[in-house]
Amino acid sequence: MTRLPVPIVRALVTLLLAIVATTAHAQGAAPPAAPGAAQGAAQAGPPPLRIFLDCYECDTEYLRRAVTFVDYVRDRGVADLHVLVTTQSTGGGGSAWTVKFIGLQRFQGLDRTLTFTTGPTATSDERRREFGRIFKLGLVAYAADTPVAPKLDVTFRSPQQTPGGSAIVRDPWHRWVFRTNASASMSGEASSDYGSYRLNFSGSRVTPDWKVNLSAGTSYNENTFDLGDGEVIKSITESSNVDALIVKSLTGKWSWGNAGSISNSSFANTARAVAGSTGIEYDFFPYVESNRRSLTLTYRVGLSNYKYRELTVYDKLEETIPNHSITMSLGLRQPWGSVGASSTFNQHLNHMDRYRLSTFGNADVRVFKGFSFYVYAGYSKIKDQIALRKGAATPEEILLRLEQQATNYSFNYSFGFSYSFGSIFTSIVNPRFGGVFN
Amino acid sequence: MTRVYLACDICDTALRATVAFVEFVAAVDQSDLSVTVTSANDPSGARTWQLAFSGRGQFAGETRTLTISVPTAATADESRTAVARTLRFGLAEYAARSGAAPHLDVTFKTTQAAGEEPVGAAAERGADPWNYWVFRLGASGDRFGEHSQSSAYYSGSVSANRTTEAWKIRLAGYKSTSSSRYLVSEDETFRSKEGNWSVDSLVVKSLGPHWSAGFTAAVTSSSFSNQRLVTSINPAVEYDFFPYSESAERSLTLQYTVGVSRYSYSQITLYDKLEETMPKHVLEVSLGFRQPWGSAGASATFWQSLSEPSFNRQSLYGNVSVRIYKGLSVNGSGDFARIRDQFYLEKSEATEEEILLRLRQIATGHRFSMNFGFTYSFGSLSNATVNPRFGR
Repeated sequence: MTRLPVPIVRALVTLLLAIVATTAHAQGAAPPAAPGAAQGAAQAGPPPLRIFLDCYECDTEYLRRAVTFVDYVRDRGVADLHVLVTTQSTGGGGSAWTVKFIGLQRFQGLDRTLTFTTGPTATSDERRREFGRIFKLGLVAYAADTPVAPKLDVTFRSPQQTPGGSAIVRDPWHRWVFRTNASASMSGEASSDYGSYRLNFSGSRVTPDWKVNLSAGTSYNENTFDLGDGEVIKSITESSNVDALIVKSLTGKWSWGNAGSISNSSFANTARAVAGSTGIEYDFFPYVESNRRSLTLTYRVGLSNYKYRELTVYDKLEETIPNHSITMSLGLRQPWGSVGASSTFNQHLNHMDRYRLSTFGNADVRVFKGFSFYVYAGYSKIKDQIALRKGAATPEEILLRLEQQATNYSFNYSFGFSYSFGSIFTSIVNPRFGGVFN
Repeated sequence: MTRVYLACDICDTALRATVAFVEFVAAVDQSDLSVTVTSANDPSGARTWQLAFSGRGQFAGETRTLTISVPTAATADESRTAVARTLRFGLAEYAARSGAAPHLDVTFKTTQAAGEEPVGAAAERGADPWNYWVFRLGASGDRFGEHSQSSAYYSGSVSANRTTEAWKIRLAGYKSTSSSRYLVSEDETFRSKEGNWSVDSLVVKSLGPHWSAGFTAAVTSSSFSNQRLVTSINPAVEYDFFPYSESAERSLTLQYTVGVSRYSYSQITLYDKLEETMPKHVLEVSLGFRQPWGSAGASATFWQSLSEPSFNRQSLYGNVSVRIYKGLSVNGSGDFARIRDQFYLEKSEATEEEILLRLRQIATGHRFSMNFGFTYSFGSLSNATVNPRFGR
C-alpha cells in the first residue's frame, strides 16, 4: 500500500489524454449519418417515420435492433406517430396488449388500435417478438411513403391445414386456471443472515359475466444479526392467508362482488382473522375502457372476527367487528401521461369513532418537450388500531419493524422530475462495456 | 379473413393474386373494407397511383390514402409490383385484426454485411444539430412517516450521453441523502443519516464488431463504506465472442481493467490509514442469453490490488429464467463473493443500531445471496378475457 510509482501514474495520464484526444477528434468529424443514403428511392419522400414509443413493458433495445425501418425519438413533440401501449391481465393469466397508434403532424387524426395477447408462460423473448411483429404491422401503412418503403414488404405464411382444426375448441377446464408458485431467497455475510420463503396457490375463472379468484399463500422471513460479544438477535415475521373474490357483472357499468378471507400475521398481532363482505361497484366509464380510463365507486359491508396472539391495548383476545367501507377510485392513461387517485373510508359499525380514511394520488405527466414529472402522495388518518399489542415493544422490534406500532396517521409521498434536451434520436444501440444485459 | 372490395378499372387479376391474406369480394356491401385505386400522369412525367382505403362495419371511419409515384418508363410488371406492395401496406393494419393476423409479418431488406450494424432508417435521416448528445436532469424525493418512525430520501442527478455506433460516452453526476427516525421509547429517539455522491464518466471506442476499448474515471463518496472521497481512473479493453450487434440475443464478454484509486477516509481504518493510493486490476467475464426458451446470465469477477496482492475479491453471479415445458417455469439467481478487500472499513466498533439498520459496512470474509422460484400454471391458459371489475 505504498504510493503509486511515478512512471505508472505518468503512463496512465498519457493514456487518458490519448483517449480524450481521440474522442475529441471523432466528435469534431462529420456526424456518422450518411447524407444521401436514400439512393435507389425514386422520389424524395418525407424523412423516415419518427416514432415516440410510450411503453413500460417493451424491450426497447430489442426493438431498435429488430424494427429498423423507423427512427425512434425521445419526445412526443417531434414525433410523427405516438405509439401508446397498455397491458391488462387476462383470465388465462397472460397479458392482453393494446397498441394505440396516434397520428401526429402529417398523420394528425389518423389513429389505429391493434390488440393481441401473450400467454401466461410466454418467455420475455416470445413477448418481445410478438410485440415487434404487431408493432411492424401497425407501422407499415404509416411508413408507406418514406424512403425505406421499397425495401419493405408484408408477408403471409399460409397456415398449415391441421386435420379437424375447427374454430371452436372445447375447453375441458371450463375456463379455470390454476397456478402455484414457490420462492425462496437467502443472503448472508459473516455477521448477518436473511431468509425469506413464500408459497402461493391460486385458482381463477374469468369470463365477461363472472370473475372468481381464489388464492392461498404463506410467507416466512427470518433475520439474524451477530452484534459481537456472543449477542445474537434473531427476528421472525410470518403470515398466511386464504382469499376468495366472486364478482358478477350486472351491466356495462355495474358489478356485484363478494369477498371472504382467513388470515394471520405476526406483524398485525392476529392469530386468525376471518372476514366476509359483499358490495357493489359502479364505473362511470364502461368497464371495457378500463385500460385507458376508469372511475369507480365501491360500497362494501362486512363482518370480521379476530383472534389475537397477545392481549391487545383494549384487553381483548378475541372480538367480532361489523364494518363498512366506501372507495372512490380514478385511473387515466392518456397520451400526455397517467393519473390515478383513490380514497377509502372504512368504519366499524359497533364503534362509529373507529375508522380509517386513506387517500392517495399519483400522476406521471409530460408537461412540455423533454420535461416530465411524477408525484405520488398518500395519507391515512388512523383511528382503528384495535389489534395493537398491550406491552411496550423492544428497541429491536421497533428498529426492525417487526410489529405494528401505535399511530394516528401515516403518510408517504414521493416526487421527481426529469428534463432531457439535446439530440432527439434514440435509435442507436451500443451495448459495449454494458455488462450482463446492460 | 378481411373481406375487401377492390374498385380498380385498370387493375388486372394478377394484382389480386399478390395478396393472399385477404378475401376479395365482388360487391361493396359484402366487404369490411373498400379500396379505390386511381392513377394519373403528373407533370414531371411519372405516373401517380392513389390507393384510397375506406373501412366499413368494424372498421367504420378508418380511412387512409396511400400515394406512390412510378416512372413512366417502368414496365407493366414493375408498376404492378410497386402498386401491389403499397396495397399490402395499406391492407396490413386491417388484416392484423382478422384471422390472418398470426401468419402476417413485415420484412425489411437491409443491405448488411456480416457482423455489421444493420442499416435502417437511422442512416437516412439528416444531420443532427446536437451531434447525438443527450442531456438529462432529474431529481426525486421520497418520504414516509407515522407517529413512531419516519424516513426521507432525496436524490438528484445530471447526465450527458452520446451514443453512436463508434463511440459511447456517459458523463454523470449523482447525489443522494437518506435519513430516518425511530421513537425507541417514550423519551428516546434514534436518528440516522447516510449519504453518497459521485461524478463519473465512461468513454468507449468501438474497435470492430468484437473489440472495444475505453475507460471509466470517477470521483465518489459513500458514508456506508467510510469513503469520504475516492478518485479513480480505470482504462479497460473488452472482447465480445459474439458480434456486439447480437447483444439483444446473446453476448459473452471478457473485460480487463487496470486502474488506480486514491482513497480518503471519514474515520481511521482497520489498517490505521486516513488516506491511501491503490493500483488494481480487474478481470471480468460475462455471459448473457435471451432466447425463445428463456434467458440466462452469468458473470465472474476477479479484483486484486497491485500494491498489496492479498487484498482481493472473487465473485460469481448467475441468473436463469426458463420455461421447462408448457406451464412450468423456473427462475433463480445467486451470487457469491469471497471478500478480502475491505481495507477501507472504519476501525471503531459498530453500534447495535448501525448493525440492525445496515448503516455501515461490516467486516466479512464472504457475502452471498440466492433466489429461487418456480411457477406452474395449468387449466384454461388461453382464456383472453379481461375483466377489471372489483380490481385484482
